[in-house]
Amino acid sequence: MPVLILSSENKELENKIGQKIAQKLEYTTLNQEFFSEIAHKYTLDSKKLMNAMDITPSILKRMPSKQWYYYLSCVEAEVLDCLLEDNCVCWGLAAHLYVAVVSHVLKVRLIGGHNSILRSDEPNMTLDKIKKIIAEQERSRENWSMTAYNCKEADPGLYDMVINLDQVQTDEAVETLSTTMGYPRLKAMTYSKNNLTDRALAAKVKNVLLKSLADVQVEAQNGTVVVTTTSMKRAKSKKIDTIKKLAGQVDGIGYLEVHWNKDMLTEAAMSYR
Amino acid sequence: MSNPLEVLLLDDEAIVGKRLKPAIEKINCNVEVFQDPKLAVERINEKEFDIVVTDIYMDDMDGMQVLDIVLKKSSRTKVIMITGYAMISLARDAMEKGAFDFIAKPFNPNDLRVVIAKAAKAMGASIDLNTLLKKQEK
Repeated sequence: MPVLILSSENKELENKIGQKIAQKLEYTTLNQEFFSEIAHKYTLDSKKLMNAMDITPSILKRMPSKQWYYYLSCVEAEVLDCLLEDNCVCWGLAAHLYVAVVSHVLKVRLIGGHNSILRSDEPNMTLDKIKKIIAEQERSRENWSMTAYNCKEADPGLYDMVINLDQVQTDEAVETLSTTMGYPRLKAMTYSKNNLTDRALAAKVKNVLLKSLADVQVEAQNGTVVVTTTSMKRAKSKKIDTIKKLAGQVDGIGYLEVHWNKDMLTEAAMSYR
Repeated sequence: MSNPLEVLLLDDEAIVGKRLKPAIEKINCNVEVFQDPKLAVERINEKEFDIVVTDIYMDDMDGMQVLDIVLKKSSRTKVIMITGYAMISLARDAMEKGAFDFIAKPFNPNDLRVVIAKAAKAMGASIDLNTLLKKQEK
């Protein structure tokens, strides 16, 4: 059964629409409330985990790069694991960025709808002011999504559908999306389920590796996991052995392959010493 | 034991039929293998199959056309699409046209057996994969 992933700058409307669709279709919801569960499972600070979903790595913000990537991998691994269950409406967890090509997942970008903020927020707020704030948020999100997943969150090409909430009423959007979810083309099939299972497996392996290592990319296909890593030549064997040992703890791996690349920059820097 | 399911398997690569036929026969299915889509369609017009497993990219006629022909002939027949060129848009189009399932190559023969068992269930028949495969092993 299909999965719906929503993405929007307007968190209030995103939440409202997500809840309404889930209620109408009797689907489960997966949203920011899930952060506390993830934090508990991985013994992380819940606030810091939520913060990692908003800020880019920075020593000044007490979020070093290694920790930031690990936090993101915890969210990714847990969300993908939940999405394997199907019949789910998901938002606020950046899933639209790491669930890229799965045919039973409908990804929708909600834009506009700033009038709702105007009505509900403080009276001094004008539409122009709100638009400026939203534009600033969008810039910050673009920076975040580029750093985290190398794609622009607002890029319409990432989505199956874009709905402009300035032109479409909330209830109409709910109705449209509920109907779309029933289309046969969004039915789960072996191909799409395997795709999602592979992504979930790759995310689990990445999560296990990022706990202690950096510079790892993980891909999976039909249970075969390929880890690509970079290090100095003298650290090659140690790093490959560590990857094999750590990844071996993850259930579901049929075959593990480690591809190693030489860290040319560090090698060059070291040779000048 | 219930009557065997009638399965037509169409793939222009001979190795696919050669490999999958015995795997599917193990789960109480009669399998007819075709490499030429035109001959397969002729056979589909003669006989109502329970399940048609078809490749998508073939010369002369593609699997999507076969899907249309099968469903026009018999809406109860379950069509399973297999392809080495799986893409999200192709998968969605196949499901929209009424395919029962879509599998990307390469796959394990058991993956197809699982899908055939699901198709059998959807048709009101049943295939107990574990029991049948255990019997074959003995």
